[in-house]
Amino acid sequence: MSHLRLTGRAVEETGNSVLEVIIAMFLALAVIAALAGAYVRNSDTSLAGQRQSDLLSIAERQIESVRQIVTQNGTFNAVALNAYPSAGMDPALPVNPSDPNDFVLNPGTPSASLLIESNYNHTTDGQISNVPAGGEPLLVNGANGVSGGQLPPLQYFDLVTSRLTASPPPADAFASVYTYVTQASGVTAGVASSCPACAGDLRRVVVAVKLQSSPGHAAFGANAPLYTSTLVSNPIPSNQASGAVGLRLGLNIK
Amino acid sequence: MTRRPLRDEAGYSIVIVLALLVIGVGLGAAALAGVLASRSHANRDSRSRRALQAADAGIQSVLWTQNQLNLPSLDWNAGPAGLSQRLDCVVPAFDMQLKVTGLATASVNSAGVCPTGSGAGAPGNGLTAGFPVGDHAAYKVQYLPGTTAQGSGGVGRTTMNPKIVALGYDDGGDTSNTAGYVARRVEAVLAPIDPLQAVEAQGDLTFNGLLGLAAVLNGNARTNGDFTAPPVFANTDLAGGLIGSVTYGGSISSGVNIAHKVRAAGSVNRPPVSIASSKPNCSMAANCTALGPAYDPVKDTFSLSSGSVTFQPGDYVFCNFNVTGGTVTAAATAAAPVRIFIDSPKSSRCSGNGLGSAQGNLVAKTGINNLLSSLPNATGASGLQLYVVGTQNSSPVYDNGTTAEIDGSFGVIQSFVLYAPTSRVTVTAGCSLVLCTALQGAVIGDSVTINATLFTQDLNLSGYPLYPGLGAFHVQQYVECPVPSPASDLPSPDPTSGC
Repeated sequence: MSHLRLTGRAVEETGNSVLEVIIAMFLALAVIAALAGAYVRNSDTSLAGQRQSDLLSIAERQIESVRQIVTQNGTFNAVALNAYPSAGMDPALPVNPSDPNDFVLNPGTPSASLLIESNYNHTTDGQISNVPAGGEPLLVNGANGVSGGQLPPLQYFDLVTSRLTASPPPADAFASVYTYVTQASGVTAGVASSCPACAGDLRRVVVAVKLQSSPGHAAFGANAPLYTSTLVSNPIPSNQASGAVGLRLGLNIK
Repeated sequence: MTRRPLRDEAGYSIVIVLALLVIGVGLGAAALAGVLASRSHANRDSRSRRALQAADAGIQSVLWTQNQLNLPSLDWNAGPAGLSQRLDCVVPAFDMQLKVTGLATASVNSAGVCPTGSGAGAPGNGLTAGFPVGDHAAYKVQYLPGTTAQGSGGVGRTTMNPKIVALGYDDGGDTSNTAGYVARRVEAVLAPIDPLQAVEAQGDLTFNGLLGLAAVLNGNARTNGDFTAPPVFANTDLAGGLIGSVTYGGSISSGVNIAHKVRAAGSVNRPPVSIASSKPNCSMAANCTALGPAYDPVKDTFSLSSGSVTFQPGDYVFCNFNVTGGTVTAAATAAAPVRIFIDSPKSSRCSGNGLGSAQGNLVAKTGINNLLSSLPNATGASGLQLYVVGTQNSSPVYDNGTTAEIDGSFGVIQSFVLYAPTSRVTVTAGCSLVLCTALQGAVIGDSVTINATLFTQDLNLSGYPLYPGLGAFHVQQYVECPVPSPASDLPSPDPTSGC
C-alpha cells in the first residue's frame, strides 16, 4: 500500500490563502458595519417617528386641557393667555420657521396677533381664508378688555416624567409647548344685531410643540414644531345676561 | 492507487462572504421597509388627529352660531298651541355660509310640524362649504334640528333633538387630490330642546283631583313614565277650546279619554340643578337677617313652625327648608323674583353641618304666598322660583332621593315655578270640602303628584328669560362615525348615515 499523495489535479485547498481570508474578513466586516449603521439609523428614525407621535399627543393633551379649563374655572374668560408670547427669533418670517413665535406679529403689545397659516411649515402658502391680513388678535390678560386668562404661552413637557412644567427640565429630554388663543374669525358669523356681544364667544386655540434635546443627548426628529388647532365656544352665551331674572339652569349656578 | 482528482475549491470563502452580503442586504432592506412603513403610519396618524381636531372645531362653530339666537326673546313656554304669543318651535335660518340670517319661527302650521330649516345652506338643501382651520386641515359641518311634532291634529308642541355632524379632514396640502384626504367624522348629539311644560315628571306623574274625581290642567303635561289622572280630567287652556297635550312614556290611565295624548318615542330629562359652592346664602346679607330666627346661619337651614316670614327679592340658598306652620310670603316683583335654592346634602356647603342625609328637602306645609299670584293669566308664577338640587347621585341621577312638598292653604293661590328634576314632588292646592284654590306655574320633578282641581301653566315665562346660565344648545354625547366615501364630503342626503 502506498500513501496517498496529492498530485496534479487533486484538491487544491490553497483557496484559503491569507489574502483571500483577509479579503473575506474585510467584506464581512464591511457588511456588518453597514448593517450596524443601518440599524442604528433605523432605530433613530423609528424613535423620531415615535417622538413625532408623542409631540402630537402632547399637543392634543394641551388642546383637551384648554377645553376643560372652562369647566374647571367656571368661566370662558379662562380661555385666554395669561401673558404675551415672546418675540420670534427670526426678524423675517422664514418659509419653515423653527420658532412658533415667528407667527406672532406686534409681540408684547395690545395689537399682538397670530398668523393663521394654511401650512405652518411652508409659509409661502399664506394664511387660511377669511382671516385678517395681519392675523387674528391674540387674547391676552390686560389687553383689550381681556381678563381671567389661565393659559401660559409657553410650557415644557418632560418626556421622562410626562409632566408639564413652567421651566425647562434640567436633565430630561423635553418638548416646548406653545399655546396661542385668538379671537376666531373666518368662521360662520351670526347676525350682528342679534348678539353683538357674542363675537367673543368663539376662540381659536393653536398649539405648537417642539422637541428639545437634553444636554448630552443628540437631537433627533423633526426640528420644526408640530401644530394643531381647534375652536372653543362659550358654553354660556354672552347674549344671556347674568342679571336675567328668569329660570336659572346650568352649570354651577352662581 | 490514486484518487480521482477533487474539484478546485480555490476562493470558496469569497462565495460565503458574498452569501452573507446578500443576506445582510436583505435584512437591511426589510428593516428599512419596516421603518418607512412605520413613518408612513405615523404621518397618517398625525393627519388623522388633526382631522379630528378640525371636526371638533366644526362642532364648536355651529354651537356658537346656534347660541347666538336671542333666546330671551323666544318663548319657550309651551302652552297649548294657538295662543298668540306661543311659539312651538324655532329654527335658525342659514345662508350658504352658515350665517344665521334670522329665525324661522312659526306657530304650528296646518301640518302640525315646524320647518326643519330654511335658507340655501340649511341641512337638506345641499352640502356646506368647507372651512379651513389652519395647517391644511378643514371641516364641513351640518346642523340638524331634529324637530318632532308632539301632538295630533295640528295641536301640541314640537321638540327639538338637535345634532351636529362634522367632517374634519387633512388635505395634505393638495386640495385637488381628495382621494388623499385623511378624514374623521363626528356626530354631536345635543340636549333635547323642549319647552317647559306645565307639569313634567322624569318618572311617573299623578293627578288627583278633589276627592279624586276631577281635575283640570291648563297647559301641557309630560312624563317619561306612567300618567295617572282622575276619572274626569281635562287639559285645556285659558283661551278656551284649545286642548293641551299629555305626553307619556309608559302607560296612561284616566276615566275619560284624553284628547291629544302622545306616546313619547324617547324620554326627555331635565338637567339637574347645580349650584356653585361660592354662591352666597343670601344675595344680600340683609335678606338673611330679615328672615329672623327661622334662618339658622350655622346649619344654613330655614325652619318655621309659627309666625310669619317674608322673603325679599333675591337669591337664597339653604341646605334644608322646612315650614310646618306659620306664613311664608315671597315679596316678588315683576322685575325681581324670589329664588330659593335647596342645595345637596353632599355639597361642600351642607356636608359638614351635622344633618347628614336628613336635609336637601323643601317642605312647605302651609304653602308660600307669592305676591304676584294675583296677576292675570298666571303670569306671576315666575316671580317665585324654587330649585332643589337633589342627592347628586351619579347613578341613578333621577332617584327621588329628596323631597319637594308644597301644601297650599285654602284661599291662597299657590303660584310658583318648582324645578326639582331629581326629587319626589308633591304639590297640593289648598282645598275646602268642595273647592280648591288654584295652582299656578310649572312643576318639574322626578315622581310628581299634583293634588288640585285646577293647575294653570305660567303663561309668561317669556317675561323671565330662560336658560341664563347655560346655552340652550349644548352637547350631551359625541359619537365618532365611520369616514364617508369620498372622505371630502359629508354623506348626502343623510349626513349621519352610518353613525
